[in-house]
Amino acid sequence: MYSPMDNYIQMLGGDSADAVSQFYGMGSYNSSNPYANIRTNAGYGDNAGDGLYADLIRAQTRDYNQRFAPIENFLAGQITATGTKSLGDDLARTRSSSLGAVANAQGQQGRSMGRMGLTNTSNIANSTTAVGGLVGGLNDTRLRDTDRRTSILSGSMSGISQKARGTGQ
Amino acid sequence: MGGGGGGPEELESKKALAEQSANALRRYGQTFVPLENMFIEDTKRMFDYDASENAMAMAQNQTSSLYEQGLGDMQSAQFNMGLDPTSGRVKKESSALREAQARGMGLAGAGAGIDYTDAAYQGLGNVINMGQGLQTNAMDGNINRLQAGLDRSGAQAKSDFARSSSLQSIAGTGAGMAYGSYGLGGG
Repeated sequence: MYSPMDNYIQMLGGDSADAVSQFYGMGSYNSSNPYANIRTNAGYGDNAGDGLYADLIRAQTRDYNQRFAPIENFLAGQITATGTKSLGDDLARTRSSSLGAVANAQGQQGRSMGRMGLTNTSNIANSTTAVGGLVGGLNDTRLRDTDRRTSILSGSMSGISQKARGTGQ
Repeated sequence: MGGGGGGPEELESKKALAEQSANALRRYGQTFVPLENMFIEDTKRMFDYDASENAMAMAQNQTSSLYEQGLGDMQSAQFNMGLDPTSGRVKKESSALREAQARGMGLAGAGAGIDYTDAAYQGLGNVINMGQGLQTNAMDGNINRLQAGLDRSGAQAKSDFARSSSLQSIAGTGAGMAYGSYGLGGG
């Protein structure tokens, strides 16, 4: 099942296994599995089991640092003084949704009036309702972004700082 | 002095437990790490500007249909009441309801977009939970998020319909007529 090289690497500890893999150009060795190279045999010696445990902990720490720590950094980096960095995109989407909906409703109204042989003279885009909807939507977007910032820091979305302190990561 | 050399011998069971943990971790790496990586990539893609396009479009379409029904009912009521379609009252009322429809669709789409971004952040929070071996938080799926948005739109549409005098007359309350208000008021 495993080649002699695989078996050899498997017998090595986590850091050594990675170093040997890279030296022999096996850097991409099963890269999707960060635990592929950990040995499963404690071997012999005074503290063989303890040594294997230590290797496992190091492998888990390395995996966390490679796969999960960047996500933590990303989340922390999203927080701004007033909300999150997603605010700009959210505002643009709100604006586009409101303006698109106005154009859509205007078209529907025109077709509806046309079916009765009437000309549509209403201008939905300039109506208080539509403009008020847009302004209200933008304000709501800002408020929700501020709430999101709170949730990321301390609430249901993540609470990243408490977790970081709790696990010592 | 001297001595027997070294500490107490390591228990064989400790070695066995360590090997068991190593095997479990390898299996986790083979089976679950690719799935976790897939989830991480999917969640990161939720931050793309266009990622929420479908959710927003669905919310707009569903909200539009809520108002379509009201507009149809309003037209029937106007015809039944013998109102002239070219009259100012009919035009104003239908136009006011269309404006309310535009506002409803716009806010529903915007809300769906914000919900999507929130879900992306919640997903990343869950990724960190996974990494730290913590329990992940339950996430609403697309359908639940859409339904929550539609519930809000439905309540708003109901309030908008309640302000249409023709629709009020269908309901038999006649409140709109009694008030003598045209259109939806405030529009």
